[in-house]
Amino acid sequence: MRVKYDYAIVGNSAAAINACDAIRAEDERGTIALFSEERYRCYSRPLISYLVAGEIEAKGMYYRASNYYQKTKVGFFPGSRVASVDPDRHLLVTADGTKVRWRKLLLATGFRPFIPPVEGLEEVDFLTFVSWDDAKRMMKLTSKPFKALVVGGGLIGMKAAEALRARGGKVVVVERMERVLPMALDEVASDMVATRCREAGIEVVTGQSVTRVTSGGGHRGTACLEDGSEVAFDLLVMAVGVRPRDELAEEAGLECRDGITVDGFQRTSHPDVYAAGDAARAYDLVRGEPALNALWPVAALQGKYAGLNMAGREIPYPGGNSMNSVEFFGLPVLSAGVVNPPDGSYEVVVRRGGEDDYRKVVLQGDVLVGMLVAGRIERAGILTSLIQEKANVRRVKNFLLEEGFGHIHFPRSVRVERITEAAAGLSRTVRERAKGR
Amino acid sequence: MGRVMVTGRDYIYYVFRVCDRADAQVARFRPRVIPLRMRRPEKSHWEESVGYARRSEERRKENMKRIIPREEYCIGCRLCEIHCIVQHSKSKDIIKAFKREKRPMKRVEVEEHGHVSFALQCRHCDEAPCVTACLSGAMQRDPESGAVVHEVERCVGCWTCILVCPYGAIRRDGGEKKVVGKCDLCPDLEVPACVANCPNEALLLVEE
Ligand SMILES: Cc1cc2nc3c(=O)[nH]c(=O)nc-3n(C[C@H](O)[C@H](O)[C@H](O)COP(=O)(O)OP(=O)(O)OC[C@H]3O[C@@H](n4cnc5c(N)ncnc54)[C@H](O)[C@@H]3O)c2cc1C
Ligand code: SF4
Ligand code: SF4
Repeated sequence: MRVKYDYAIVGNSAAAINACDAIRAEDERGTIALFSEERYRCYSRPLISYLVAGEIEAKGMYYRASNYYQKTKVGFFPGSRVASVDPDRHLLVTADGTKVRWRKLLLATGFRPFIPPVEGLEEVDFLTFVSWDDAKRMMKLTSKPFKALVVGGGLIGMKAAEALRARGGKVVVVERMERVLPMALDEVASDMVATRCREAGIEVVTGQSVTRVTSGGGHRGTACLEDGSEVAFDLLVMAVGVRPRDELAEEAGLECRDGITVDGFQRTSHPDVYAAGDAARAYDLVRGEPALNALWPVAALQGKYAGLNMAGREIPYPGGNSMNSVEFFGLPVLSAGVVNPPDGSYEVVVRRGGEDDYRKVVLQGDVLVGMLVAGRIERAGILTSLIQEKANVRRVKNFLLEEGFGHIHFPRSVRVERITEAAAGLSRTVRERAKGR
Repeated sequence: MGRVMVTGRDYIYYVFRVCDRADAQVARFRPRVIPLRMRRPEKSHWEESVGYARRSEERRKENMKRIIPREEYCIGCRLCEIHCIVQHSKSKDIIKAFKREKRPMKRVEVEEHGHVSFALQCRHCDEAPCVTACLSGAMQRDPESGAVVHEVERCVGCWTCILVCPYGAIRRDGGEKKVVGKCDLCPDLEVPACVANCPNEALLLVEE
């Protein structure tokens, strides 16, 4: 193994690969090393539920072509966990003791599942649902008829439940909050999704948490809920949330506050170390402050900007925002920004066109800060881009909830600018704001 | 004014700000490339941001194709939509495409409000949000043409790209497999079907 690299990247997912692409676009010659704890070529983590459900095959999991690392001229080290990092000496040490020197380092270590302290949980061989290995285990355990209990009704929990249902098992989801997908959706949309899931045969229990589990040997067991009821299971999936994986950074003495702290250029507290993706707490342009957004598009964008800056460009990260795209049993729901306004200072406008047609926008003054579209989702991206641009939507307010809302409703000058600019999404305003930060 | 041709950003500027007022002759030209320097406005407010974005992506190919709508000439007849559907059908025959085969989705959409209308399709953004956001890697920039291309085989229909496209240019395919579709600039044709079939030249093909 070569022991000195211009760029070293820890991680091999959304943030890491997009950083890699950005570095290569800027610097054709610099050497890059990529360390991944997992043994796979870069694959798309969100697709594990599609794999388990049988919607795609293993070859559909990969995020890049098989010759990606050769073509991009990247030294790829699969199954190689980075054990420690020394920023001042520009050194990292892998689990097998190899020392590697680097000029710039990116920590794209992602997230790990959060396991809550539940009495008796350690006795049960439970599953998490965050990696290809998890998906393989799940597929192996569900080849015979089974009854699964999924703890957590967030994105990962619901995806797991959907996949398990597709494999023909009985599925129970227990969510502590009063509704499923409490972060991504609002009450109405949560209800729509829960209804769909119930119709499809998933038992959804909300407002309950698991207080105790009793092992029935191996993967089996019984869970006790708050109200005293019991759920027996052949398979237990824990999906109550994720935490940023910032141990490596913390041990290296980098500033972390529930996620690696980064500046507007994705740089950590050490000038030669960058962080991106779920592990980093980067700027959220809707909240106007750093926040955790454990999302693929956000991780990818952060990775891209970290890469550009590592390669010597001084480009501020324009900022991300929470956004979700889910579809459960034929009902697509897209949301972005603030969907559950925290107080009365927001204006909320909704339109319910039918059972499966729901639209909502959230405004703060004349600025669009959130949207949710269920059913007819086409063109929802226009709303997302207005949120990201913090555009003044006073003149188009009346049209926001129309299905055909689009550039036709914009003032002509804005329309011309947007159509010709074609550098959309991250418009001039966003960029300037980022520059001034 | 004779037949003039301007290229690149100048051209787009020209189409939008000058063509409105220019004589019919100019309005009728087809985009063949005859370079001519156009005076840029002293301070263009979009200039800077465009340059900024262009540099940040991988180097773009010369002669990148773009389709520019001209709302002054669009009458909202939706022939572009029809010919787009035909071009993406199995037989590429208008009758068969509409009456016998599974009708493909349209990749260009006419937006209309009052007397104003124009046709809009994927902008092939310099800094394409859909490419960054795509969960599966199906949405990518083609290094050859500079266009943003969608690899249907790898698409899983997660709709993340629909969530981020600022132009609403991506739609669900509506077929058996859950995938999306969008403008591919008609790779088999010299001039994309919508541009070639607009009776009013309300769509122009620009090579930058
Ligand atoms: C089931 C599921 C469904 C999801 N669905 C969606 C969705 O629909 N939409 C969406 O936007 N997001 C979704 N997500 C979230 C999305 O997967 C994450 O936001 C994204 O993967 C984050 O990418 P990342 O690059 O930050 O890190 P990760 O994908 O977490 O990757 C980090 C990598 O770094 C490696 N690593 C960590 N530490 C070390 C070390 N010390 N040494 C070497 N390697 C190390 C890890 O092994 C891992 O491979 C989903 C997630 C799951 C689990
Ligand atoms: S699909 Fe939308 S975001 Fe993607 S390149 Fe086209 S216009 Fe831009
Ligand atoms: S729908 Fe297809 S192209 Fe769009 S983001 Fe998902 S996988 Fe990518």
